Amino acid sequence: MKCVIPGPNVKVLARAIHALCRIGDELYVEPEPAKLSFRAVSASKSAYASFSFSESFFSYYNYEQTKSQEEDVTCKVSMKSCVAVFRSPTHLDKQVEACQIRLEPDGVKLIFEFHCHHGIIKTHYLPIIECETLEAVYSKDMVPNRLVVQPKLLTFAVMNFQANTLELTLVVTPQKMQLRNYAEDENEMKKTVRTELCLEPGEFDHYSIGVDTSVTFCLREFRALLLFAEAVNLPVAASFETGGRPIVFVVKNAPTFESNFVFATLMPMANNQLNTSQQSYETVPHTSRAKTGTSTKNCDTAHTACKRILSPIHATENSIHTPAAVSGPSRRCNSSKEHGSQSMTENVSELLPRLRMQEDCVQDNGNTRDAENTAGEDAVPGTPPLPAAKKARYIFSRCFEATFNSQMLPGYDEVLAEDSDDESNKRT
Amino acid sequence: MSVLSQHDDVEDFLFEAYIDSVKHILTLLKAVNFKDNATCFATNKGLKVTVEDSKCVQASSFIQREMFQHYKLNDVQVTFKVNISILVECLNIFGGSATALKVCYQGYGFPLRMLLEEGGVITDCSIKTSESEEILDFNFSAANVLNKIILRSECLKEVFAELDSSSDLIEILLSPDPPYFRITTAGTAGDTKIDIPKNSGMIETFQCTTLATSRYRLSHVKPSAKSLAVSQKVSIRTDDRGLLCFQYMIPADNHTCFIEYCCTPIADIDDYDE
Repeated sequence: MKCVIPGPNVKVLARAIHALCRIGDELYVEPEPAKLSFRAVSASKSAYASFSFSESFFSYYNYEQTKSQEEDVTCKVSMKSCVAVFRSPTHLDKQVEACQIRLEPDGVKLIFEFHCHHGIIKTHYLPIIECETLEAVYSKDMVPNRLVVQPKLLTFAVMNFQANTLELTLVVTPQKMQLRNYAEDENEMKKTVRTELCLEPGEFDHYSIGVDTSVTFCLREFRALLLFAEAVNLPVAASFETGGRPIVFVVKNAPTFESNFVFATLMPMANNQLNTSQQSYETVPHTSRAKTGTSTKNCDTAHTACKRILSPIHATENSIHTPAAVSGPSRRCNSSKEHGSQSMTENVSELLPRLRMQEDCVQDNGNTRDAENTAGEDAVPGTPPLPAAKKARYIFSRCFEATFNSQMLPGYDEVLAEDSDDESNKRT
Repeated sequence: MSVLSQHDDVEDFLFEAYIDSVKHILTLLKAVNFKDNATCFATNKGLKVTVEDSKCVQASSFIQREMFQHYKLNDVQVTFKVNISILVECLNIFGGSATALKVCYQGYGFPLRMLLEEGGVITDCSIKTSESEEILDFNFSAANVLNKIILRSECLKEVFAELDSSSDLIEILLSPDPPYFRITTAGTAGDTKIDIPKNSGMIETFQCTTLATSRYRLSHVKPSAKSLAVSQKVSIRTDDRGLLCFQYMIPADNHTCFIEYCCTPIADIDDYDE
């Protein structure tokens, strides 16, 4: 793959890389016949971002794929090294006239070549960590809630939150949208400053709410999105369903580029802690919460981490399982992956072994409840801790898997390289 | 005219000088202040301040005699060693550039006396001098220069600002043929090379005769960025041993001052094979 990006667009790419840098530690570069994508996923897999630049973004784009290679030329590089290449996006366009990106089919380096003023050429060779692709599966079309808003409005809104705010809750009704910082539980709520603000539908470019809901997602990644959107001055389109399902933000400049940010949202809690504005009524529902409250406290620290991770998993999980889908197909992927299949495609869902394992245990126990229920139950505070046996299965899950059989591997009978042993030669 | 300019010849000084603004001296001294100790040489031509590091790097600031309003030397050459960080701090004591300076050195074993005056306020400084050691002589002579280029500093400033600090070494290639001038670093985040062609608008003189590649420790080359930052033009020369010599042209009102920065290459195993 070889492409050339003209000067002004280099800045856009630099902004994109800086946004991706706030999402994950590794950058996936994926050339396709008509577009080049840059993707990243957060370490906890709770946030995913993808930037696709179409041919019109480039002054030259050549996706040459030789016939011999079946797999796409893709690569993963360290985010740190890539950010170093695009160090200062603001000054970049003053110096850079064009940027060429090259990715050789069997290369070990991703090459960025900057053609700067005065004929100076800066070439960066980034070592390729692995040749794998990243693809998140999510839907942004079949959701009831859609918002389109100018990034400035959101930036002003988010500016009000404290720098250490982790999560942001978005509460929507057809009449208004509320933004507030999320507090894990009552204890945390007592310690933190609660900020809440309200936006009128009139402030949005488009505002359609099919279902009243509230979604909670990470603010850090959301800020990355806003930084990018504001830098390129393009509206942000949000599509979401409800808590526990992913929220998708799209910033696009059709037809040159499109960026998608997918954030996992927290599972809605059974209690009413989200209604921070109704603190005066706190005493009333308190009694009803007492039962769940105690157990939450017990496993709070351990459980919190679990909850946080679980719900994103759950989110992606939901999005790939169509109602008709059973665990069958996903299982197949899972096993083929473990057996070293040549398919390097890693669905985000596949990257989440935790839930998969849990799902497996449940099915092994003959439990027919679907995945959603299991995860949902897990997220609700007050669920008794998992039985020891279950835990063992969860931790030592590999021990419960079927014995490895090399004959099950696709293409096991195909000899890729002859034995180097010359025994056969001796015989002849 | 500052009160300091009225000098009395009664006292017996080996070296005495007066300047009505320390601005340019300060610039020149700060540019080589990457180590604490500096050896100062006062000669008929002016003052030379040399700073060395690890026996590999040597930077010298030249302050011409003409820059001083009064310059008196009672010997052929006066040498002393001072802490340049303290010297810079003293010169900067009024913070402004309108500070007048009178400096005197009585001789071996005496401190460096400085009187600084701004707006009628006088500061009297006395900096201890130490035994001056012999400085390195790289024996860099024009006859052995293989390659020489002169370029506008802004170009190199950009390059230096973006040098990958995770790289231990920096490789400099100069050649009469493409790629002409190449700077390479290899850091943890990947390799970077910067090519500046011969016909670049930034290059004023290009006199390269032989293809030569030398590697230097980045930590030895990096301090030169201080001098680069205040310079207008820079000349880069390498000799047949790979010794790298930067010469910075620094404008100072009606004068042009120079800073020279030399750095030895890394002994290359390949060289021994030849």
